[in-house]
Amino acid sequence: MTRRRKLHWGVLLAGLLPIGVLVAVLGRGFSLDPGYIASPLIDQPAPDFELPRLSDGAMISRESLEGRPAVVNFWATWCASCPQEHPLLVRGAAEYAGRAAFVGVAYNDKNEAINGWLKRHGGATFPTLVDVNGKAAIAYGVYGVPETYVIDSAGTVRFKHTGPIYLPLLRKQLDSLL
Amino acid sequence: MRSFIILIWILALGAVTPAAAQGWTEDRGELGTEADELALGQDVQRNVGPPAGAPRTGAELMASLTRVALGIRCPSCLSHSINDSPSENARNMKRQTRAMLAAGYDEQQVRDYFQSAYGEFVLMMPKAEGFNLIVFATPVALVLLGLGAVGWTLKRKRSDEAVAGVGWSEDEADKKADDLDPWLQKVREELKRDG
Repeated sequence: MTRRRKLHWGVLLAGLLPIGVLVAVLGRGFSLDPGYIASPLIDQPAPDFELPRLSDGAMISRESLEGRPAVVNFWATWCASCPQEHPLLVRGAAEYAGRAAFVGVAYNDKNEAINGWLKRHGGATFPTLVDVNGKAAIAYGVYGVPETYVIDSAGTVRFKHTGPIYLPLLRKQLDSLL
Repeated sequence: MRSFIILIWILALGAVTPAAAQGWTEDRGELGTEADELALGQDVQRNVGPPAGAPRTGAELMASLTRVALGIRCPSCLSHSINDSPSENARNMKRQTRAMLAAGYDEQQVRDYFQSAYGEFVLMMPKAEGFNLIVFATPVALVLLGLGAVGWTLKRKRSDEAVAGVGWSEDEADKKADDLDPWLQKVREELKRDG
């Protein structure tokens, strides 16, 4: 009788152990944001790029942004949330004029479409670069547009935001670097 | 009438689905030249060093491209590799893979390059090290645990059968008990004598 009872406890524990582990793993998983994937670029040197500027085709490199914090925003004319984000970036660029560089990188887009989109959405107070074949987006590990990177004056990536950026968050990041 | 409506629906779906798929795969980007396609990203050499092998062309390049592309996850569609996904993100990454392989970068350098930008998440097969070992060790541990449970159950069953004398007739069981227990044999003899 005693032997049987001991065996049942063993079976119960053997069954409960994997269930407990599963519940712990799922509990941790459900408490995290499933859309958040940490960027390996944080605190790493920002990937280099040299892309044509939409307005005149002049090549603009990432190094040319060094010396002050930079906001690099990947966007596209076919992106659904970019129209909501654009005015905030324009306002942010005006607020930090002379203190931080703002650059828009149009991803997988055509010059004609970008020009038309900017005209419809009030223009831009910062340069737009065209990422042909998405090589800069790949270098930055862009999952989808819009995505915004904040780079410090020495060229190190300090922050990445997936989805439309909002001004208080952008201010907080830039102020910490100024 | 109902079957006619269903038929119309099926035909309409058949017409719409390829059109939708075509729209999805349409290239929205500026058309790059062949030189653009084979141009490496500015940061490639800084990340993974100079090419470790010789430049590839033709069938060798295509075989290597397929092999690598099957192992890289499409970041915007998650469950597909860049070889299988028709999304523009995946197609751009496949172009980058081709450019690197054509320039002589080996397959591991290409994987390392994507991992440096997207993290280990971009690899379809996680590396068997650190915390990832759980993924590889759990199935083996479960099989061993199952085999152990089966062995333990069989052993217990055999021992229960031995105790209960399952498979013996009543007379056989009595005879075995008598063989095992001289005291019981003595009691039976006394009962026979008395009664």
